[in-house]
Amino acid sequence: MLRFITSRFLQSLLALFLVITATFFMVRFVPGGPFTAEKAVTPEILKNLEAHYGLNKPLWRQYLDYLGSLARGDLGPSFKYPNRTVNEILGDKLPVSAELGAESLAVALVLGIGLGTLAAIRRNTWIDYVASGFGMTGISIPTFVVGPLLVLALAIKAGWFNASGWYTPADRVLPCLVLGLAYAAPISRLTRGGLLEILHQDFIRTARAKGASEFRVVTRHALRGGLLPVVSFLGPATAGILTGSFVIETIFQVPGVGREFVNSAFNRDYTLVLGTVILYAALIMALNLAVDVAQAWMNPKVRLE
Amino acid sequence: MRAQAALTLLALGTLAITGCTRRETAVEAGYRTATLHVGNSAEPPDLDPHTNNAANTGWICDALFERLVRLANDGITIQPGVAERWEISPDGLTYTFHLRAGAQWSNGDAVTADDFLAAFRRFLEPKLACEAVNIAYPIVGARDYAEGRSKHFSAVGVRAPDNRTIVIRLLFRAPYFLTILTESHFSPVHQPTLDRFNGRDQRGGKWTQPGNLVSNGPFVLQSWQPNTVLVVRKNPRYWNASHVGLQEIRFYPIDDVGAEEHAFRTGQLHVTYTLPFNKLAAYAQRHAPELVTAPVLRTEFVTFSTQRPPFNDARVRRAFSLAIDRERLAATVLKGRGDPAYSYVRPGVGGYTFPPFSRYDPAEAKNLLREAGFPDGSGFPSIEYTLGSRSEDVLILGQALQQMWQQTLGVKVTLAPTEFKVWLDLLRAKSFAITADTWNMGFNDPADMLAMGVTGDPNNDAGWSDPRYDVAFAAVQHAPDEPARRAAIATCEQLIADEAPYAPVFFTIRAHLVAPGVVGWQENALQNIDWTALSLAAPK
Repeated sequence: MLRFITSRFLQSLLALFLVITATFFMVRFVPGGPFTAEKAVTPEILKNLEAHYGLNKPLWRQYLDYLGSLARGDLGPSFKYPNRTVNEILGDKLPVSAELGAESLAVALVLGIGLGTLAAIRRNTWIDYVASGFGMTGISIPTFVVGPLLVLALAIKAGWFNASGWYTPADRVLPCLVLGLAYAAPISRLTRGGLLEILHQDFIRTARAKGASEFRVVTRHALRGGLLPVVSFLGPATAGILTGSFVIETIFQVPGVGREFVNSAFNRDYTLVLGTVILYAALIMALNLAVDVAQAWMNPKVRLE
Repeated sequence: MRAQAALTLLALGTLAITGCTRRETAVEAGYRTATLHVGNSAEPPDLDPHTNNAANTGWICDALFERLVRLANDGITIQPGVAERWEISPDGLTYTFHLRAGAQWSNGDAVTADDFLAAFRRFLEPKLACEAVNIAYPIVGARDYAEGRSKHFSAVGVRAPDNRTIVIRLLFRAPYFLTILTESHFSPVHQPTLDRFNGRDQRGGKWTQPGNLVSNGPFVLQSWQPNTVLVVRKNPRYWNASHVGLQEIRFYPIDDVGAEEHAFRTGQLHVTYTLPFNKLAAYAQRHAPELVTAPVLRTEFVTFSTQRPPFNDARVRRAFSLAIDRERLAATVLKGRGDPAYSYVRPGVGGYTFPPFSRYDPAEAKNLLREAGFPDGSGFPSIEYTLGSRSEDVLILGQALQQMWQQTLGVKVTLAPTEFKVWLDLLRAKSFAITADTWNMGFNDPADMLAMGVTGDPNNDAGWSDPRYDVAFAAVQHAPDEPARRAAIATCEQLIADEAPYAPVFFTIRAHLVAPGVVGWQENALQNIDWTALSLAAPK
């Protein structure tokens, strides 16, 4: 098990290095720069600006400088927000994204597993059809439709919530609900499928034969195996919730990393682009690693391979 | 895991229920506490008034810093600021400002002439490389110092003969000079604070952070949560504090126009920065009292790449300009977002109004294209109309122009939308045929925009060069009196209409929302807000 983890960890480190290198050169070769603005500045001013940020050095030198400061944990100054460093910006935004992600994931898991389980044990009844219908609807309707609809209904018409912002605990409800719903849908489908497969197996029949209650059969015996597909989905889903929250963060004006990720690319804020890419890459790799370990724990077959 | 999930659900449920009671909105609370909630469109990059290059940051700087003179809410009247009075020499080249005795920094230090001198020096500092520095170029020696050709600030025409006097000498009579001085770039700086944070000639110092920032305006910086809210509070040490009606202003950097309109409707904002263009019609139709529209100093035009065929031929450019039916465009496409443009600079800018220089004339357009060797467009190369955005409003406008050119001139035009910074690169490299372009004027005078026609100007995106124009523009700058200046401006406009490096399309009208309880709001072309003139009263 330890060897398995170590080898996967080293693979991740190599991948991270490749991602950093590729991103560094890719953003530089994109047309436009951090200081191309609607009004052109004189060449003298532009030269001084570039000198201030070290952009006048050869590219390979900048790359080595960047790796050097990265090794010290310094992601450099932001080009767009000169009085803040990339470390400070990401330090501000990551907790917000993490909170949004954790709360959305909680919504997704509770709703998804709950509905999926109900659908599986009441298969082919109206409960199943409602739950499956919810799943299909949730998968088909994108968040940028659900979000504004909920804003219209609950914020503008009912006046219960702010339309956007991240000021009070009540402001968390709408964004977490919308993002959570989007992921609850596939989770409910996966739970239903996984459970149905397990519920027909011999060990379930044995458990029932021994007189275990239906509740105990489902929670103690069936769910552990039935949730395997959900667990493998959770890795990419968590990454998706954290990185793909751009739309939600924009609709609800949540000050998270997702908006910074997209806006920094439009602003050609080289250091901030790299900072967010490194953060996301590290997160995704860590999550995938965690999923691999969890799967190995839940399913001995994976461990042996 | 299950217990945790159940708890979270419980928490969310409780929140939903507590949210169910009808709350007092931020806007309603604002009327009680004199707190104005303002949508500010984007996160301010910094609060450094000198390096600032964004209008929305300028608004915040206006609240925090006071310059020698201030611009009233009409966008025209110049009012005393730190300077209680000033004199302009008869030749219009020397300005003498007398600072008021009671002007203080927010920490109690006196605002002195030396603080202004230090600010001029900082704004022009080559190491700081302020993007907007060229607005100071009317000042003697400013350009050479800012571009590093002169190392001596003493050669720049700004002096402080004593602690309460500032004398500025200009290279040429710039009738708009006082308006320029109202811009954030001429804010004084508190030197001890700058030195403490090494900010005199460095960008990005921590001196603009809450707790560090010392300012001299009607408001002081209270807190700044990036991408959430920036709060300024009334400055009790401001010389005119008894006339400031607001206790607090909260700036929200809402960068999504849809979200901003929603926030206004749920009572989170008194003032929005903008209004989604597809909602304008609905607000206008029901005569919503909160809808505020006003012309702004912005022209949208078509830029031709004048150095490459087929647009190196002025007849072709002029044909394209004459083929634009601006009235139809305003009525069917813009629908309240713009006025038809028949001159390059909006009439009325700087107080100058002329008869139209350009027109819609399809017959003449066809003639010119035939003279240029393309009768009915035959033999004319297929060209791309480059757009700097993929947003719906830009695309619709692009399609309308495309259709007008194809129908009137028989030429084949395809639309080429690009991402904004990619487009800027194409523009600067002049690698386009024709492109949709805009200019936001920096100050209220035609000279700001006419500079784009001068040979070699960094913003001369057309790559156009005409010695007659260069002479005319120099005459605008150096005109000894008003009639001469007026004539020179007319010459520039006529040359742009005849040679058509740029084809004006429309003058922008800004639309946004202002709650009826905001008292003293006056929309003006410069989008200037005098925060001291505003107060709040709950509408009945």
